Amino acid sequence: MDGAWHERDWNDTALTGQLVGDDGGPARPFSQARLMVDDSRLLIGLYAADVDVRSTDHFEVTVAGRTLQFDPLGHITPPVEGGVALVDLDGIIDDPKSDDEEWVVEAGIPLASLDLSTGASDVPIAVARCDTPRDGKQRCGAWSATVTLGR
Amino acid sequence: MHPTRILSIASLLGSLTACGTIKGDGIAGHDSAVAAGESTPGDSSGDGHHDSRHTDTAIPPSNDLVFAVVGDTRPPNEDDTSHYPTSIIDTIWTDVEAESPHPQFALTTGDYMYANPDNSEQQAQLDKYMAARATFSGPMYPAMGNHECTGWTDSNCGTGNADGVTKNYTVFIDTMLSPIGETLPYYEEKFEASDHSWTAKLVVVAANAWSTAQSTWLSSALSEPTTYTFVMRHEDNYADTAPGVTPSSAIIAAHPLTLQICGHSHEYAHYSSDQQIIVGNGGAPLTGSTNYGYAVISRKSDGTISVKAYDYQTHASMDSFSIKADGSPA
Repeated sequence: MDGAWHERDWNDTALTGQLVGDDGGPARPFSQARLMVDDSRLLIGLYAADVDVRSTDHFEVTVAGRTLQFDPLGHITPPVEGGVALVDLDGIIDDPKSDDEEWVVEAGIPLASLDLSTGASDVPIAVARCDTPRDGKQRCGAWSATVTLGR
Repeated sequence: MHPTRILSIASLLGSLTACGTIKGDGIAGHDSAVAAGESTPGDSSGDGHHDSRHTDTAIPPSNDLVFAVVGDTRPPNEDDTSHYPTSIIDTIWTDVEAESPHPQFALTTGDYMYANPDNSEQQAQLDKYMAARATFSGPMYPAMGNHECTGWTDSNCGTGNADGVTKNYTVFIDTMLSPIGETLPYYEEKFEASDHSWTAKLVVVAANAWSTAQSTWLSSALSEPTTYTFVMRHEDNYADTAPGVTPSSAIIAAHPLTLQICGHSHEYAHYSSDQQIIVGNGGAPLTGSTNYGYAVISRKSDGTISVKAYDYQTHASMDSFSIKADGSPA
């Protein structure tokens, strides 16, 4: 895991969803989530098109009722034991004079940390992101799905 | 010396005639067609370059220089060819072809792929782009983006540069520059009215293939006086992690400029104080609030330059402004 989605499974296998804006159209700036599960982890990919990456930017990912924030510095808030988030950034954080392009999160969250109820196989996941592009107007997007475990 | 081609507007119009695609735009055909970068009988250079100042076609008194700008077309993730924004770029080029008056040529501001240089998705992605571009019957002059190097904005490709000759770079040169006879990602095109009333140059800078040679060439190219000067570079003035942005900006600032045309940020934007537009909304993940689209730039009969940006779905105007030849507001 290095922050980039080099592995083919991110393109070929992951459940992929584009966040939708308040107006029902594709979220602006463009935001995307990709989800996979391996034997022990929920693998989360988050893509943020972002012309001005700030350390306060973040995605909110809610898994089975628990909300985690992922930011461009690779922080998971609140911290998750065994959780890892790495970031592939094309830009300079907190430098508004420099145009940025995007940041990408590649994260792994131990399934054991998610307090899934015994036997649960269908886990609801929601992803949200708000950002303020050059026009100064904050825009938000969201996407949700159900990930099936153990099949 | 880097090669420069001089094309009269008449010859460009002739290239459309040669393709048999003249539209109902009031442009008359003629029999001295010379397409950009294509060899013709009598082209003794053998390299497809021409100095063709044919003026046997009347140029309409208005809109006598019309070109489109399209920029930044790639999927969100590397090697994700199956998610290439094909339908968006197909529509954009269809829109450009349908513009009236018909653009004589098109500029593309860079980033046509998102491919890992160590893998092999470059050609498949550019094939998708070129298939869409084929809808437009005029010549296309491409700028090199950071994704035609390694993908990183701070990458620097080309012989002798830190990132060298990547697969992305090679496929870009072979697929997109070879058709116009170019072998380097920085080059110049010149245009001249058939009545010699104005001249224009397009100077294409490659900030991700920056070198001393390009610096010298850029100073020389910009020093030749023309009525209009258009500079195209993938990164705008503020994407200054690209190796050539700061040094080329200094050179550009020391010379006359009508308009700088950029991409990189996935949006349409106009920065009048910088004499700069960003057309990066050609299908790549949008960073701003504007929709996908393109721009059309035209010379008006009073000599001013009109810039119009369009939404690709509705053809609604996203922006419209006019400037003088020196780049100041008209």
